[in-house]
Amino acid sequence: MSNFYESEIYDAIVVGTGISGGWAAKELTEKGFKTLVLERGRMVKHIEDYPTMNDDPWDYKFKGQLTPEERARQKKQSRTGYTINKASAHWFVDDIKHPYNEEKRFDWMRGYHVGGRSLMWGRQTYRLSDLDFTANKKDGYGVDWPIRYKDIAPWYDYVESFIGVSGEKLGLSQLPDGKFLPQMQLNCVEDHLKSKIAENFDDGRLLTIGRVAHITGNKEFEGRSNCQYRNRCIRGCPYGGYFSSNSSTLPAAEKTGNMTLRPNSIVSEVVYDADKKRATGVKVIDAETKEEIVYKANVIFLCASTVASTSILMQSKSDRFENGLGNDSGELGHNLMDHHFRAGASAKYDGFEDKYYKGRRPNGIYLPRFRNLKNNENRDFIRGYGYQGGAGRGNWTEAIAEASYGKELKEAIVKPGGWTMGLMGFGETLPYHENKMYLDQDKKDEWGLPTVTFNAEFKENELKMRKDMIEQAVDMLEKGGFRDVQGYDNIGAPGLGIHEMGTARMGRDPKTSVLNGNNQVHTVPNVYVTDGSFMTSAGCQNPSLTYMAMTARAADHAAKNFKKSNA
Amino acid sequence: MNRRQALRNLGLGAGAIIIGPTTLNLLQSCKSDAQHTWKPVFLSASNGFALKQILEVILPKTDTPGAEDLNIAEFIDSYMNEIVSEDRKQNFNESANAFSRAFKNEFNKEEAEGTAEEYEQIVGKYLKATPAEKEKIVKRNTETQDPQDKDPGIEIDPDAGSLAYLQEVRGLAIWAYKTSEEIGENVMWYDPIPGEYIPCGSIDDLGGGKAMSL
Repeated sequence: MSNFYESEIYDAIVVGTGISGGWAAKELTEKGFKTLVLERGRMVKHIEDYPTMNDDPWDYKFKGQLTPEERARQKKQSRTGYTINKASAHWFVDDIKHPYNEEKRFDWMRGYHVGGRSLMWGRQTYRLSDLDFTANKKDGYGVDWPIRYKDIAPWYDYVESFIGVSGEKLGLSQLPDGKFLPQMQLNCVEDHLKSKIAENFDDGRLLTIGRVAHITGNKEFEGRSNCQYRNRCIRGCPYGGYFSSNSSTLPAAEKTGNMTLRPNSIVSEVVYDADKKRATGVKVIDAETKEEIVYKANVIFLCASTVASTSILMQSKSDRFENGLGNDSGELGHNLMDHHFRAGASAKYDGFEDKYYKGRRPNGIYLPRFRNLKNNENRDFIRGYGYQGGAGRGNWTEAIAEASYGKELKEAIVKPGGWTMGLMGFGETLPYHENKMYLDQDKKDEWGLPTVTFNAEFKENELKMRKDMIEQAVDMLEKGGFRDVQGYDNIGAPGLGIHEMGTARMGRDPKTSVLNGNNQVHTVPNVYVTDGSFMTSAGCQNPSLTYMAMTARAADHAAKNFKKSNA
Repeated sequence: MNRRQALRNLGLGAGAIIIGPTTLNLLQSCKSDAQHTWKPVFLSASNGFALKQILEVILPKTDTPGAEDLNIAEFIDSYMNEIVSEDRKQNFNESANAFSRAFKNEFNKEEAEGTAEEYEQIVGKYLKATPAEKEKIVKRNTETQDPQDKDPGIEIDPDAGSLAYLQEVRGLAIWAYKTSEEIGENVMWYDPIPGEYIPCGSIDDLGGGKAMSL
């Protein structure tokens, strides 16, 4: 097939419009770069294209449940248990149209549309610390991060000020404070557990409200307003109450007049010029017409998400890079990480029966990492975990004994049930070389591109950590005076945390890593990769804030090192 | 009374108009006819009649609408038809048939001939059983059926099947009831745009003692 060459040479191309791509688009266009922003999926305009944002359960014939025919098209996307229903299924891919392969089960949850997963993300927003940036060096897993906290701290400040993060300052070295908007509040039972933990433990553990990318307080954000406590975030928010590319970074990029946004554009490879030792552009397949187009630019930002950006690099083969662009180390596709979670405890609480709350707070509690903060703890696992969770008043299941049917049942089921509380650990997964993704050249998708195969698993360190997650959760709830405390371990499979990371890791040495400390491909410096694939280790914190900060930092580096065509 | 309280009361008032006494009488007068003439899409006609009778016991009309007003039998029937897996369809049908046999054992007549009083009695027999009694009933089925080698020719135990059926119908009915527009907007605390979070307030002040419907 003959390629159509777009004659214009852009200053920059950004591949992807999610959390990272939105930031790259905003930063590069604001610095005056004429930027082509490519998105493989359809267009989604803020508010206009959130069809379910105001739906109530009774607006759907079956309260939002899908038919077997509909479910059959999203079998893998359904593995989360909460995303595939009438309210949000349209944000997740059709598994039959977009297949992948599993040597070992891997839950690859994704949406192909402008805004990507920034529309459906969990919005928990935490900084990494030097405990995380030095971890690999200390214990020898993976390679050393080429950066430290001081390198990223000002960029955390910068992105937090723009996106809006509500949270409580705690002064913890393992979880640095940020530029916070007023914190959300703990409810009665969460506040009770907080004081019981403070009374019963002297190892530094404490309970706080989650740090979350929602607007609270009086600060003004362009085109956005405060969180309304509807907890319908996953549908897209008409208030712009939480941060998404669609509500925040893409409108900022649009405003500069420097952005050309092209949806339905599947990037198949980065084009490399061996003489110049630079990338010259990207090859795009139009998702609808299947036409191939080559776009040229001086700088390329891959922000397509961990697995997709890694696939694009793997597909970018040339005489110089037989195993994929920038893959001299052989590490491309390896060191795949996710957080392991769904281990913890839940319980009931007798008391506060006369208390309730107003609003559906789209946030829970956070209990920052308290394990292995010092070198001498002698635990049977390394690294650590934090807890997320919360308390709420349950529903009718609580009322079974007193009122099985009739008038009593009708009265019981419209009242708030008893209080329940859950603590769920989110733990660090180590960067294992053998946890990997690769391309299957025999199984192609409908655009003729190879499909991704996963082979990754949790190992001994994660499994031992989970035992502690459960034991400590049970212990805290018991000491908090809760009843029916039940520990649980529902490990699922890697991917379910929807925090894929590490397959094009940063490092100091080109022999053992794909990217340098500025997110540049070691040997192709005009290609930056700033989604989760750069993560050298995982930490136990939700990672999106780090992608945003590193993207802004990389864009600043690119602006200083690559000329605009009109400059 | 503050503005918010006034608005909430207005909301409840508007709901009450919809189910005013005239409407209720109308619904009652044609109820028994409707139950006999209803043609379910999934269940057999007699199991459909029984389902309506069971739902009248579980969610009767009181000062708030009941199962019949909210078309809950129709909802469950089409839910089984259009949404659930083949396995669950089959189980639901088999347990509905088991209930039918249990009804005959109990009253020596077909379920389609049953009276409201008889349905009240048989629903109570199973749903008001003590946990120990329920355990005994469930056990009866596992003794006659090998779950590894489920012979489609063997009918499930009427008591075990009835208990399973009534528990499932009850769960579905509560779900359908609470997520119906009438109950969700006018009986429970409907607050689609809270606008704020009050973390720990008096249950009576906040929702008038009602749970949030969303």
